[in-house]
Amino acid sequence: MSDNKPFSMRLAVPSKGELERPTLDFLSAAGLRVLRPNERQYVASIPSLPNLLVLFQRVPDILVKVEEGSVDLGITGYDVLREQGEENTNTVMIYENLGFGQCELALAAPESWVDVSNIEDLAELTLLYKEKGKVIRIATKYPNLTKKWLHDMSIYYFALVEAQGALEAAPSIGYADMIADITSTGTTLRENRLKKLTGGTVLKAQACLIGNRRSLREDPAKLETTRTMVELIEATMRARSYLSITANMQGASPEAILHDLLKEKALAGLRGPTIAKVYSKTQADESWYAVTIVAEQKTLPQAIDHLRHAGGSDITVTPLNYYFDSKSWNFEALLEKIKRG
Amino acid sequence: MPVKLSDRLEKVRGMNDVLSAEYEAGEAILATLKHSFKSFGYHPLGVPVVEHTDLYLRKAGEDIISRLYDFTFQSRRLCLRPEMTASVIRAYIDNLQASALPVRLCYAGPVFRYEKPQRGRHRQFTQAGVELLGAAGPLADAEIIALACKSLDALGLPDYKLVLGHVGILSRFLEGLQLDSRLRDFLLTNIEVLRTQGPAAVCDRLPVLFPSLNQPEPQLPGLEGALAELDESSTRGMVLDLLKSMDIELDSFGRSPDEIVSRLAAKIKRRGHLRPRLDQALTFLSDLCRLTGAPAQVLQEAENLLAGYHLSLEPLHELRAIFETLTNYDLDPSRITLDLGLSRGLQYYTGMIFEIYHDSPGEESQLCGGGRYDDLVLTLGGRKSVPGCGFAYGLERIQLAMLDQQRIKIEPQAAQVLVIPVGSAESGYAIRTAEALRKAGLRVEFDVRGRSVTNNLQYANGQHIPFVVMAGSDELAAGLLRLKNMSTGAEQHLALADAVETILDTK
Repeated sequence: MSDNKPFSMRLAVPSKGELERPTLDFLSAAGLRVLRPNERQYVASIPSLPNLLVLFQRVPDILVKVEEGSVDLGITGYDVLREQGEENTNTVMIYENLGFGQCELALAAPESWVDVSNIEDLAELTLLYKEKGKVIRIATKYPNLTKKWLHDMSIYYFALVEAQGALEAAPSIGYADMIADITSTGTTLRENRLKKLTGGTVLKAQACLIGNRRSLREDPAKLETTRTMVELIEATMRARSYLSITANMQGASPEAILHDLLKEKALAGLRGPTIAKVYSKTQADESWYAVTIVAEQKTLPQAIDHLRHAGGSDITVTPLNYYFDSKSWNFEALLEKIKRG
Repeated sequence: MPVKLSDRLEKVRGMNDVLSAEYEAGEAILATLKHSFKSFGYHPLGVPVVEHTDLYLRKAGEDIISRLYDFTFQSRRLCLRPEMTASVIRAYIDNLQASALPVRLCYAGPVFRYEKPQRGRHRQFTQAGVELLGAAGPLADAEIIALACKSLDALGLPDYKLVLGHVGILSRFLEGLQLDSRLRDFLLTNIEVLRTQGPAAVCDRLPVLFPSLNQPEPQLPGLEGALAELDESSTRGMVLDLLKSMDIELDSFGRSPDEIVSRLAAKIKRRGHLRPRLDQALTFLSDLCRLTGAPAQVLQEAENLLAGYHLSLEPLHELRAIFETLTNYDLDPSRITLDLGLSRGLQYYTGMIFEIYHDSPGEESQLCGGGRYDDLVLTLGGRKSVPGCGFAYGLERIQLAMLDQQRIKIEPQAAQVLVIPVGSAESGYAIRTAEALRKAGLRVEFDVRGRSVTNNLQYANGQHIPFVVMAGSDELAAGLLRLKNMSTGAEQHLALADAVETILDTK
């Protein structure tokens, strides 16, 4: 922040709370390390994107600021977006699943309701309550999402109790009968003698990158900065499911090695293996080659077997930092979205 | 000093401004409809825009509940009315229960539904309709249907068609099957899906909403078998024992142990019995949905179908009687078709139901919906059961249909005369002149901006005001008006009465 270059663009990231650390780690892993002069400051910068000012904001405010355009980009929870963003016409989704901040919004009922285990039971119960002139009260911080989801499940007779703080206690205190809340483990629920309903997952969410439609549409420089970010994020995310594998292999010729490797096309690299001469330090007359392939993480054991089978040894495996495709698909999709809006 | 804020405040999404020309067209349509309602003896009433949400939760259809503008204000759960019938019935119960029956009421006003905005569908729209309370039977049904058609005829709207059905056929069949009320509601709301996409599409949604449907019918005499022979209290006792033996506590959390155990016992007993009934229902519904077309033929086919299922033919007799009554109303019979799969979603209807559509190129737009609701007064807390029927139009839809058919032109209605003081000293005289012209029945604008004569003439031209009266001291002295015809440019000095005549005579 020492140089005097003006920041022409703003990115809001979560401050405090569960999303702050994972967001910074995520950006750092994508090559977008956030430089924060000190922990108490709420502005920071990203050296690799010099025109971008980073603002630390409360998670619910990030969506508001992106929608009104006072920041151009924001990283927030998809749950917040869905809960508060229904009427937001200026906010555009740039990257939906950033792979961190996973959470699940789920319905939970008292354990002692042994007759209630799934959504169908809940639906019936709401009708029973209605017949008695009562209504099931559900405490939640997500009234919009919960209401819409229950309606989608053909459940109409309930009252939502909007509450903050520890909702798990609501049924035992008595200000609600059930809860719809974010659950990461089941422990807190069990401690409060609650149980998740089968089929009662309202939403699964993780962190996402959003932007202001108008500012991206109208300012080519902002769009270009966004493209850089999206490219790096996309390539980082894609790289996570691939590995680079290198093996030494003895063979008559590169073609002979290739012939062996191609017996299993799925394990012979993305486009095909790279085969390069190795100059043996022991016996000059032996012909050794280094074979490099990129393989999907989940096929690693098979890929190793395949290379061994073809005569491979000294097999090393390295993770990829980035994996760029011919273009950024998320950015292409973004261009379509801002054109439409 | 007023502060200019930098940001323009936008209107709320899905809500519309209605500018003068369009507004006047709407008013004209409404005036015709009201006139038609009154010619049948219906009395207008007004009901509030804000109601207790409970009014709609009691009986409204699910598609209405899920679109409510529902909010808590001062610890009261309130909503913007999504339709008018419930409010009108509530108003009847509050104010008119002592009145001689029948009570004929009509209304018009804005209603609010939170849905995806699109052409012909806004989040605020206008309904106009009638309710006829205290009369059961085909005479009342036919009056409502005839009024719905005749008011459209009065507007001169061609190309509409009326689709008539009867919810009694379906509801009696489903009652006979003893499906639980939620499954019954699900089927009723999914009739359109069944009709357009077939039973498979309806079944697709079932596993999510009704997981128990996938439980197989019990093969071995398990818990269900053991409980099958027991009466309710023994069943409860047994289940309670079972739970106690497992150290499962049933205290606290709002529901009594008894209630929980009863439901659990019922749930166990019901296991696996749902699927065959559901399949039966789907078959019947599919058959019923095929019964659509010209009334005489459909009624005949329906009799065969219902007889096959040993169902009462009463609803068909009702429909036949309605048709017979309608022949006295001078309606075009080719406009009316019968559709026994018509359900209007899940609402408060109990008997005949109908919808009116307008065929515009490429899309079919629903203009009107209505039917008979004999339980509603009691459900909403009336002293005694009062049968009722009614309908509501969507006014914006009617307006669009009339525009499509070029039955109305939307153009601004300009003033007939602009009165301008020649100088500031003459403004008093000019105002008195304008007043005199208004008294004579003209639409008169007066220049309040103190423009020059030239600018005023330009303004009159731009606004398509056909005449200008220039009020100067000469005219005051002469007791005459200086009248300029804007299309010919001709100027005359005329007495007031002559000026009025000239203006009225010029088209």
